[in-house]
Amino acid sequence: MKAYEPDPHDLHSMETVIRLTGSSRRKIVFYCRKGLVKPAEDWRFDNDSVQLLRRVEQLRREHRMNWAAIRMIARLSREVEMLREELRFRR
Amino acid sequence: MPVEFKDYYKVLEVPRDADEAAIKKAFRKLARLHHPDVAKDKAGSEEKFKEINEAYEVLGDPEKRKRYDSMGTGWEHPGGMPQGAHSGWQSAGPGDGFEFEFGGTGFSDFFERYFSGGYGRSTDAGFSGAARSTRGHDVEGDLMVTLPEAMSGSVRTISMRKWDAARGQEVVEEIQVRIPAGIREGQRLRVPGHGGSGHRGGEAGDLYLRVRLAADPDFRVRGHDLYLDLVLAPWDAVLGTKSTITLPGGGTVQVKIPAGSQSGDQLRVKGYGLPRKSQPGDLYVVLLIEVPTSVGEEELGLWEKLRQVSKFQPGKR
Repeated sequence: MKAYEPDPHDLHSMETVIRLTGSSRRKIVFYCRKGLVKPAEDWRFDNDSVQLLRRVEQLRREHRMNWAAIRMIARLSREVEMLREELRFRR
Repeated sequence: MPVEFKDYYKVLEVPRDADEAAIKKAFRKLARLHHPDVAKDKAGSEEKFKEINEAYEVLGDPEKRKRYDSMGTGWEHPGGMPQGAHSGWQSAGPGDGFEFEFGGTGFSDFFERYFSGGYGRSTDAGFSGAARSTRGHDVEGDLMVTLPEAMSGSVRTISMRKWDAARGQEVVEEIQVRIPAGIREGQRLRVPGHGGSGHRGGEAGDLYLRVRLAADPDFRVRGHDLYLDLVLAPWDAVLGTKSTITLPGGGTVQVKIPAGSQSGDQLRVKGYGLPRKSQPGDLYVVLLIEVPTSVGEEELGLWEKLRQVSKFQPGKR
């Protein structure tokens, strides 16, 4: 059986992120400038950023969403996640 | 693929009309009884502990509980899907003929199918529409991790049952995944190449395991910090005392409760939280003062005397 030791602090280079998300360098830079994702260091991204960028690509390509809608969904998703965490803490 | 209905009320040993407080109390009682740190049968207790946690995850959340209650009646009719349920295996994308189910995540198939919600086995849409080779879909699953596992790390065997339409057969893959010590709620572990298959020679997608920390009967977790409620007798709060705290995963730490402690005070025990590369989180001991509800004759006399001699005026600190 194959064993894996995934590191939750994995960081991916810009080239890897482009390959994993199907997004372009220009778009990723745009999302960073707009504060949607934040490179951890030296244009390297963590797993959460990669996952978010994939979702953004899905919203853009499949659902034809524009930047304003994507930004709103991302903000609301972040809020929901924070509230869920708080709820779990208080339960 | 049919899934077995889980009777969460039976798991928590509460009636269907139990209120939130009763459910919380039942969870704490059972979770303490089957906690992997104390039970003799480690493997059996861990399974039971995770089952109790899953039941509490649903019944302890008013929204999920409502959804669960509405499912109950429809379940008895074979072939009829309960209200609020989505049918069949999760598809990783429209028309790609790839479906999957997880085992060994700590959650039952029933939970994964109906309560993982937007988090559970969510997937992306993949890169579609091109005649060239395309990368496979990423697959995401929830992984229940107990607090002792988060403290010390562990190795888990995850199985994935996939329906591969291209080959027309079911495929089961098993992998071992090391959970690193210090893992936090919501963090994702990426297992490369275990998502959906690529098309036309494209590489396979990745598997993302999203960590869901199991509720602990004693400790709460915020980031890397642990919180523990410590209930004190009023005289211990006034005079001060010492308390020995058993840490998740083993080990103890002695905490000095200063004289004049108030209910709600938090004592920080540095470095006794979840491990972290830079520096470990902290343990916060939250003091709660409980007064006796029934007292004997001698005790009553002492409290009466205290009332007469004490100059203490509550609310005027």
